Amino acid sequence: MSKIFLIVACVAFATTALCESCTNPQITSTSFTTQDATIVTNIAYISDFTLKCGNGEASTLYAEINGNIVPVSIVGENQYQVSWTEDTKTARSGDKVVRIFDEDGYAALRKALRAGEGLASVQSLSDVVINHPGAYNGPWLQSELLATIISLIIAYFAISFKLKVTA
Amino acid sequence: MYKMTATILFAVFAVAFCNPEEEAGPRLLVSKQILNRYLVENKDIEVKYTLYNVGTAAAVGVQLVDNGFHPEAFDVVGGHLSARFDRISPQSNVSHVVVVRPKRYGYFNFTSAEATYKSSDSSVVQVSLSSEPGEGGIIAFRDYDKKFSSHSWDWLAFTLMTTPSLAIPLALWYSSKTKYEKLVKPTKKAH
Repeated sequence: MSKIFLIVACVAFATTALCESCTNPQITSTSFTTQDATIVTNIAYISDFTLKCGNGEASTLYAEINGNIVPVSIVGENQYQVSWTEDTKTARSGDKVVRIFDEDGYAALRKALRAGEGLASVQSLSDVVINHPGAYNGPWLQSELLATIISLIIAYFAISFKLKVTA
Repeated sequence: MYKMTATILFAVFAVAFCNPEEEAGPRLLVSKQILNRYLVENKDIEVKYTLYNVGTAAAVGVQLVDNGFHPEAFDVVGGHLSARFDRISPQSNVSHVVVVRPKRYGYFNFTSAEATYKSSDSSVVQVSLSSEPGEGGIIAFRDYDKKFSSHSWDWLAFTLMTTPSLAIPLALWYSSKTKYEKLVKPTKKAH
């Protein structure tokens, strides 16, 4: 009886040891950001990525976005999506790095938060980069304004020339 | 007599305080927002789904599905219309953003999305419908362009059309001025 118990305990221990975190993570990602800011109120950042682990594990993932830790949504086989929105006025163009954590990373993050340390000290599983080329906010100079300025300049030259000639 | 009233009162109180048992468990409220100022044909429409867990337990195996954007009428350009979250902790929220592009213009009724979830200790599947953004008018691109584009080609055409009315009098004046000066010069020389 105790022998069976010992065997079962050993097997259980072995299987839990095998349930490690993701080894050798490989991420392939595509991203999308809205680029026309004249018709929307917020810019959307969406990153679609697939994560392949060396040991085939697919645990729950968490992402760090702008200092907040959010769960990652699962949209397919090994396919995940991270998305958030920002106000058009405060959104900056450039690369945004999103750090991805698995269960162990998430536990480490919570511990770091409780201890009051920064989140940057925790090693992430992998990183996803979203490039935002900047959103179109409308033309810098209205074309009607430009047309008015040019016509005023031409009128000025014409009238001054006429006065010079007829004087 | 008193025993009877005491037992009756006890029974009444027992039933009255039964309620807290019903509210234990996860409860998801889903909001579906359209983050657009204008809805234009062939231009992005951003849809943001936020799932709030207002219950006392974690929601497990949350599946969010939106069947309101038929592939014949909309193209999904960013994100996916169905997503799964393994676990949403109590008193927390998660959000999911999808960007679609309408292929046609006209009035469109934005309907609710659906979220199904379970509690970790029961197999009953709970369903929650999201908020409904309602009816929106998707403007044709032609009308949007007429109102909002910068019309730079139109202004260029305008300048080309007004140049003759400025250039022709100038050219006539200049040619007569040079002819006059040519006529004046010999008489001066003759002096």
